[in-house]
Amino acid sequence: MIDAADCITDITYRLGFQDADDLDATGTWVTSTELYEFADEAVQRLAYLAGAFITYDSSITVSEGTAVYDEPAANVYTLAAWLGTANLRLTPVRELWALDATWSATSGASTRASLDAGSIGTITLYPNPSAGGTLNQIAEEYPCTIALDASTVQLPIPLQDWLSYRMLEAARRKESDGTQTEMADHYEQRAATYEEIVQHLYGVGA
Amino acid sequence: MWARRSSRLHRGRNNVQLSVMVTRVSQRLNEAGTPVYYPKAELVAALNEAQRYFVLLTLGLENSISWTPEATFTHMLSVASDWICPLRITDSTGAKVRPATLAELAALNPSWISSDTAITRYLSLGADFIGVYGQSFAALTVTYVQAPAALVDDTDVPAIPAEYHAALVSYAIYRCRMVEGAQEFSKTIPYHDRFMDAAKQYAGFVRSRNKGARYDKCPPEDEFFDRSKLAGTMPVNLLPQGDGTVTPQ
Repeated sequence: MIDAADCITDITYRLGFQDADDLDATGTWVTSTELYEFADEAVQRLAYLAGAFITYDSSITVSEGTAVYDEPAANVYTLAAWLGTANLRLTPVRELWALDATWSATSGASTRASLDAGSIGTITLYPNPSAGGTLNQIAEEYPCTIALDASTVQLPIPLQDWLSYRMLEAARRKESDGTQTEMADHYEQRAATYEEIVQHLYGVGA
Repeated sequence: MWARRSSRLHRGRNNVQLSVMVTRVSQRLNEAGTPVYYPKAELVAALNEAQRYFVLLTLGLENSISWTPEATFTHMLSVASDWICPLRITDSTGAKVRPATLAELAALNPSWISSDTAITRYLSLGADFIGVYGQSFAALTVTYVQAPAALVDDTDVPAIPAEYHAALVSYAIYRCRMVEGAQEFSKTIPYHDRFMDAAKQYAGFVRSRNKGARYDKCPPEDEFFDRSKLAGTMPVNLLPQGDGTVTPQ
């Protein structure tokens, strides 16, 4: 578990500030609030760049006769799905058409799930479920918004430095008295190196 | 090779304490005596970052714990806060619990998430998400890559092999000068190059060892990283020239 607050402590000196009070003094070229925003954007980006935030989601309740459900707001992509413990084979809609010309009107025990049969951000069950239950998914979901007092991220400790470099990059690229584009370029490449390691260890994203 | 390295580690002949490394970094930043421009806290933070990065590049620090799953899926950071990635899982008899993909588990048994058998396969996804095939939960031994403990006290010694402690000093010099910006900072790129060469050397050793031990993860190949990009828009004549780098024309 890493904490963006620790990252801010870690980069304060490199941004030219003495300490946290100096960073949050009136009129500074970058603030801790902005640094949290930079961290939040970096984590959202990592959520689709690499498969780092995989989780088991059971938040959708399936009702009899309803085939289409909105994915959770944080869902980036789904890797596997079950209705209760019954496996739902992920199937593109073109294969549903090939399988069953009237697939959208077919009812029965669901055996497949499609991520492109409905609108973007929905999951469609086939056949239209004849019984309710819990839709369980293994999915990539981006973390909650990072902000003051809500700054932890479910990542291994060494990736604290990745987040620090993304914050440094964004701060130094900002149009301000502290702009240093050549250092921002360097920080970006350092962060990119960490992201390549993340992809190697945890898999690529969507 | 491993036996030779282990014996050197145990003798501790070359181990360098945190206070010694801080002094070396400070001296090489032309701050002999009490650090002023580069405060001690910054030097210690730099050395800690160096050690974390070294372990991430090499996967060269491991730990084994006993773990009894309580559900099919677990976030391992809640089991071991220093978790990085799994290397091997074995059951109480010492038999290996084999790694598998989602597709392999679905092919093996479409209802694998509710299978009431002994644990024979595991699934690793994301930073710390582990699933087990078999719900007859029993104690497992999990060997994983471990994040190093932070260096805090003056007498603390890095967890990585002693012959690589000097690489941490090189990295800390490079990291401390980031605050100064491009012209001054670009002079420290060779220090970063030296650190990366050391990490590449050790990662090669760990890779061979992990393959020999049939571990489930190996360190990333050095060829992943194009170090010439690190110089960005800095002066071209200050680009790193070491092994594994590309110099733009």
